[in-house]
Amino acid sequence: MFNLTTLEGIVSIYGGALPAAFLMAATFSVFGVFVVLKRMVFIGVTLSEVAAFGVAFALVHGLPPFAGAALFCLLVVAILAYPYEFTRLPRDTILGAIFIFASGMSILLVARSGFGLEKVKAILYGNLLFASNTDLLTICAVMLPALLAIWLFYRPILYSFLDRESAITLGISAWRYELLFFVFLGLTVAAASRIAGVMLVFCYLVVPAATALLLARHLLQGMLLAVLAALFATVMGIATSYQADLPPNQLIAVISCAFLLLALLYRQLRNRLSRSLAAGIIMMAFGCITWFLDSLAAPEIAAAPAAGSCTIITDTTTKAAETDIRLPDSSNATPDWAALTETFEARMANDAEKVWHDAVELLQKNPPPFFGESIIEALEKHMNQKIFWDFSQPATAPQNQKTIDWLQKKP
Amino acid sequence: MMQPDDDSLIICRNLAIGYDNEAVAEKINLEIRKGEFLPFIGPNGSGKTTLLRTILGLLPPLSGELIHPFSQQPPGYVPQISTLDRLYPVTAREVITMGLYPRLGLWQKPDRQMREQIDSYLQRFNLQQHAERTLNELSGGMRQKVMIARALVSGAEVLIMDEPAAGLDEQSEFDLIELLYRLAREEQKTVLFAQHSLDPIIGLANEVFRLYQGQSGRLPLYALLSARNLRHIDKENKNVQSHHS
Repeated sequence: MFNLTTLEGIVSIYGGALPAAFLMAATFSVFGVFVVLKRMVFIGVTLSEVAAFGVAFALVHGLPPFAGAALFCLLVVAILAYPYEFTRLPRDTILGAIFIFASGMSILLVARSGFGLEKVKAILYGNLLFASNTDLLTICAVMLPALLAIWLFYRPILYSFLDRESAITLGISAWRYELLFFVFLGLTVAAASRIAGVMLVFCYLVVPAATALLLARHLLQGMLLAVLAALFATVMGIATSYQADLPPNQLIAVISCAFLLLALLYRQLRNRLSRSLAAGIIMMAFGCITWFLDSLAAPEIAAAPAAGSCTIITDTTTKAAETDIRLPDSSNATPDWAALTETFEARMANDAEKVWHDAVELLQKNPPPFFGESIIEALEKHMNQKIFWDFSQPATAPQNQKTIDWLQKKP
Repeated sequence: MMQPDDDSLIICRNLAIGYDNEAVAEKINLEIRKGEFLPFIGPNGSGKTTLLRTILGLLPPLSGELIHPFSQQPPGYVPQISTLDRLYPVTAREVITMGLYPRLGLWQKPDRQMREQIDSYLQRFNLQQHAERTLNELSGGMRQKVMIARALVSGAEVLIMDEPAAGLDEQSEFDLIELLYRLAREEQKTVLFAQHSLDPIIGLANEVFRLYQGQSGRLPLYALLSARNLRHIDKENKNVQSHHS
């Protein structure tokens, strides 16, 4: 799983997604420790769902995805900041209602947008492979200050969470630290939602923290263990995804759950057997998991190119790469944007010069924002420079036309 | 109208307490002196916890006057034991150290004097063997002692507790109430706490503050015990009569 060829291949395919994934894993597992301890696990899934709704909303309205997700997440944080102790409905019920609303609205929004099933899945479940430089920058800009805030205000946050009223009587502004925590939680979920998706964000927030809390005797030790568990699951998930041609996010989530199971098993065994024997059994179980993941490798990929020529393409991508990009002949017919964009992206990776004019043609057909953004991103990545495109305007708008003219002049 | 004593610490004048403008108890007049050991007695819903939370500043009074010195020296609050979540992987020593957080700021470590203070409370409360145990590994009585120690290391002169013995077995309850009494007597700490059962405070408290059906006031403990005994005798008589009939 971890030989040099695999590592080189992973780095070449994931590129900027790797630091983004590691930063997300570390940040969410630190936040997750507090979320699990506060017994507010439901807030994790609600915020992730709201962020997905925000991304869908932003894409439909031609806004930056992070702006949409952050706006809705912060709105939910503001709603949750209301003191529910003395109201007829508990906070969890409100969270439940928000979760249902956000889930329904995200599906309704994308259903009206003309996005294909694959893109809906991409919005809701995310994929680390889709991480762009902008995503990486957004994640760094949000998550590093969030980690810094937790590190700086660790003491008052811990006291406020453990015993809110005693903290208040001692003069600690519990509400201020709770708000700080949840604002950063909302922003981090918003920043990660586009590439991590609902499931991976929720997984990072809950599972590594739960694993660590089963084993740790001190909170700081628990946070460190949670970070290690999340990072390890991420590395194993990405490596297996690369080898076995499986979606990385889902693999990371399943591997995280396997770690949780091992931690539970260790606790049970520790009470019945000696510590060293329990640890030995767990190491064997871990070995079995690693062997199983290793055996998942797709045969044709396992026998693939030698080191140095690592252009590993998944089956679907290969198929897409061989397909022509054809817009419907009739001007009234709606193009299958999901298929077209997928084909374009795949061919762009292989043979950019040949599909250059296709990109320009696709942009001239006013693709929905999500697909337009994918095309622009692919072009930007290839040219290694920023390309202006106003998604709120048609392709014929002067600014967009200027971009098309400029693109047409390029070789 | 009450005339406050020189050593009065907390004064309530015509205080009305409650939630959302709905009064739980009204016309509360109470003066608490420094070093007093005062249990708050009353049935469920009589307003014991509401009054203590109002004194702490966690709830605003509905009307009346409340005077306390907590802006200079915050009180030590010990909530009901069930509010402290045992899921947190924090040791007894770490919880006690939390009482020093306002003095330590964000990252300063406790100095030698502070560490000795923590050790002395651990020793005094018979917790030195359990200092490195997590909340999950401590009994209910020990957790309550840890929270009292945390309140004391913060330098609080007033200890306010909401049913500190709730959920404890009889022996632990007696031990805990006696510990509180010694804090009041030996260290001049003012100890206010909500209490259900009268038995653990017999021989320790002379007076109680009783809340009952919207009325409140200080009562000598013996008066309350006599009334309880009379009710008990009356009930026994009725039982005997019904048995005979």
